[in-house]
Amino acid sequence: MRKGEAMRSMDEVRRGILENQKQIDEAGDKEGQAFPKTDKVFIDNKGKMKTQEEVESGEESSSSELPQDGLKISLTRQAKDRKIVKKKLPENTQWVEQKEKGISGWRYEIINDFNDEFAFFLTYDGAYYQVYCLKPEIDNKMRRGHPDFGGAHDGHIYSNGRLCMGSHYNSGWNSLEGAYAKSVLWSNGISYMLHEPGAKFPYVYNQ
Amino acid sequence: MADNPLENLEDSVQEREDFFQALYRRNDGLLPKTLSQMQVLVVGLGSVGSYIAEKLVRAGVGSLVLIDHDEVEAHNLTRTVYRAKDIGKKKADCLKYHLQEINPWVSLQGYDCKLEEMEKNELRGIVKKTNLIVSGADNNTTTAILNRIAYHYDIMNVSAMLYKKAQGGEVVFSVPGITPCMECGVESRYTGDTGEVMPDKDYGTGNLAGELAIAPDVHTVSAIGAKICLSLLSLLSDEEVAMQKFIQGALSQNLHMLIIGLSPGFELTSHFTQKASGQYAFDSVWVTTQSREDCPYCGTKKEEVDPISEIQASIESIDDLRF
Repeated sequence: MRKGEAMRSMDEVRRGILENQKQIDEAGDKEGQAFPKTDKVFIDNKGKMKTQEEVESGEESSSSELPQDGLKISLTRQAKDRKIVKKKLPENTQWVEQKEKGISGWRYEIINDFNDEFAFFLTYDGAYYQVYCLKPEIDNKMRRGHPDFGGAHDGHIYSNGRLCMGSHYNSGWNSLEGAYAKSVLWSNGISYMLHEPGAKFPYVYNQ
Repeated sequence: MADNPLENLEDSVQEREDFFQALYRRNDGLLPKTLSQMQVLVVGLGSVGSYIAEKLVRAGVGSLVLIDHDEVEAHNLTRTVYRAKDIGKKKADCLKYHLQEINPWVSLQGYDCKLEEMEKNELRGIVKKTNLIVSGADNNTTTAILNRIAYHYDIMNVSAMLYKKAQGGEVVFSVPGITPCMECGVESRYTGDTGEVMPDKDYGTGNLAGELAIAPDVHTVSAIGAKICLSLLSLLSDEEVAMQKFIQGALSQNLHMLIIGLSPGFELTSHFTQKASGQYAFDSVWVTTQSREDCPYCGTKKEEVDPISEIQASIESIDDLRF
């Protein structure tokens, strides 16, 4: 059966809930309403859970209006990314596409603060920006159990060469320029490890 | 064998209807009979996904689409619906078989691949017929893609997970246009300083590491997830039923995340429940989350891009990108 046949549409569902929300707001603490109002618990922008009272007594209100509609962005991601690449990534950045494999992204090279050369491949995975280290072949060293890499966690790099840039965004980043900046930072971390025998990756888990 | 195939078809339609009506007898007034017309997409068929899928079929949901590329392993048997004879076989195939045995009339499509590997038009076709998504994947990208699909295609979405060696768990759900998207809902957990609930990663696979948990704890959280799934589906029915009212109550108060303490003193829940008498384990707190203002899915700067068109194939090796 097709979605929506002999059933309520999502618009009807929304109308009903918004009407209930309005009734609850209007009823305030009045008894006998359809759904008893409870004290709310919020998560603030530091990841802490707070009661309604704690939130209301705070200096800054963390409540925001429920979005109804917004600015429509007509630019495609690729066009937007192209602008960012031109403005913020190295001049040597190239667009790489392997149509048969369904892979596309940006390849760029840098020389970091340790004077080491790195090449990266930056791609959008459908949700986040991911960066792979192409040069030096750290993923292969890691796979062969190189002594500088006691474990994958030590170098913040997966066995397929993908960088781990933090705990969220599937280890990637949610902006192209942020992913690029993280890759440069990562390169300095890994250079430090490689130049100083026994040294640990200098950044914390979330870099 | 009947001479007239159409006569046979009519018989089977009636048989299907009778079977579903029989299932509803125990849920009369609780769940709508139109569940048999609804479709749920379940991505990730592990301990949470397979459990919820089974409960939805037993409740009379008419159609399920099952996606998972993994095979059944021996350790899965502790907390899933799979059996020893399933080891080494694809979860999507095994679960399909298992569910068909429960209800031979349920419509089932199984895909033994990653969501990211699906043919895009096929995925669009599935999504357009889907009323609810169950996010059970152990990969943040897949979960994020599902979140985007849910918002773009106007589909409700439910996720259930456990953390901290099953000291606690959570069920989060989104209704486009009413709640923040799921990514905003859980964002503060990852980016804030509540580091204790960050799931560990498996650097071999790039996925979230399997949380150590006994089956009863996994199934406690999954059962709540299943109830929320059924309640959300009830919203789509004209029939007034108890589960509809149950979820309307939460949504009307902007409550769309439930945190469950499975061990006594679980800090995220006991902070609120410790002053109440008679509290030990299994306390819970409903939470209001907020949209990030710049969220491209539920914030004020919405993107109109079809998230399915942006899905990229997984990169297994980068050797041929080295030039």
